Amino acid sequence: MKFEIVELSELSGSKATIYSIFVDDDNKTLFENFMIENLREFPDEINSKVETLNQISTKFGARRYFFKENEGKLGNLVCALYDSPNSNLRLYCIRFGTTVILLGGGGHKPKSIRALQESEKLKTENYLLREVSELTFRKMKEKEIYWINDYELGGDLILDTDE
Amino acid sequence: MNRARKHTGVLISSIKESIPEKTKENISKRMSLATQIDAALQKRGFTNQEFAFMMGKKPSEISRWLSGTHNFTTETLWEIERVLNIQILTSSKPYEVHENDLKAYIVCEVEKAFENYSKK
Repeated sequence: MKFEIVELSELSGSKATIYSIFVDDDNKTLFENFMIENLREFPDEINSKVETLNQISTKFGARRYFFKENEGKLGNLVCALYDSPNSNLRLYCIRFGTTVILLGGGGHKPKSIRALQESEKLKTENYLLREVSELTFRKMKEKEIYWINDYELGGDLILDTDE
Repeated sequence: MNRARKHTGVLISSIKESIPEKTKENISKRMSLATQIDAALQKRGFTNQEFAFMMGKKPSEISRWLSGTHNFTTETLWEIERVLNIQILTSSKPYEVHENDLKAYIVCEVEKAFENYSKK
């Protein structure tokens, strides 16, 4: 599987840079697919997520408390953007400090389930992001991915599970 | 330095444009409120657990308050103001009259009264 990290120009701002991921030959990022999949059923929630990300990138930065932490393995920084009250639309992401967010996908988490593993869709999206996180950290360790100006990621941003 | 490829899509732009101003304003205010509360917690050196205890709430509720998505009741905001000794709600202050404004007002009123008196 091949991933490419790309910057989402419309969502990035002076306080945080927002990225998403292309998987293999898909011409939509994980975040765009998330919006397409949920826009019809949850338009208000999608609006809320987009505006929250906009506020984060332009005004507040990616402060820890705006994110539901520990949604992945210990230390892999996979988290979820908090949902609006009475809504359970999960959007998974990786938060690198207050300046970089890597958006993945997500889906609806019904009130009837507790663990994400109980929903096949959430499990798939979450585990995909765990994989991206692992590959990104490996490349960071090898200095193939690095920080630029403390608020951007640079280097070889194409990740391959076969490498 | 090799930066990430920039990706622009019609979808994000069109959603951004369609968000009502009121929604944007509400989200901004909620996030700002969360930031204000967190700043006060940092300043006083309180952990979320300690703050939860002082407010008589569960720590998970404090996380929800700080998420920037919570719709607070006025009573809760009053209690937060009391516990953290901060001002969140804009309270109406008594109107402060500047001395010069007061003098000008009196002169104006006297002139008006004098004018009326002269007409009679």
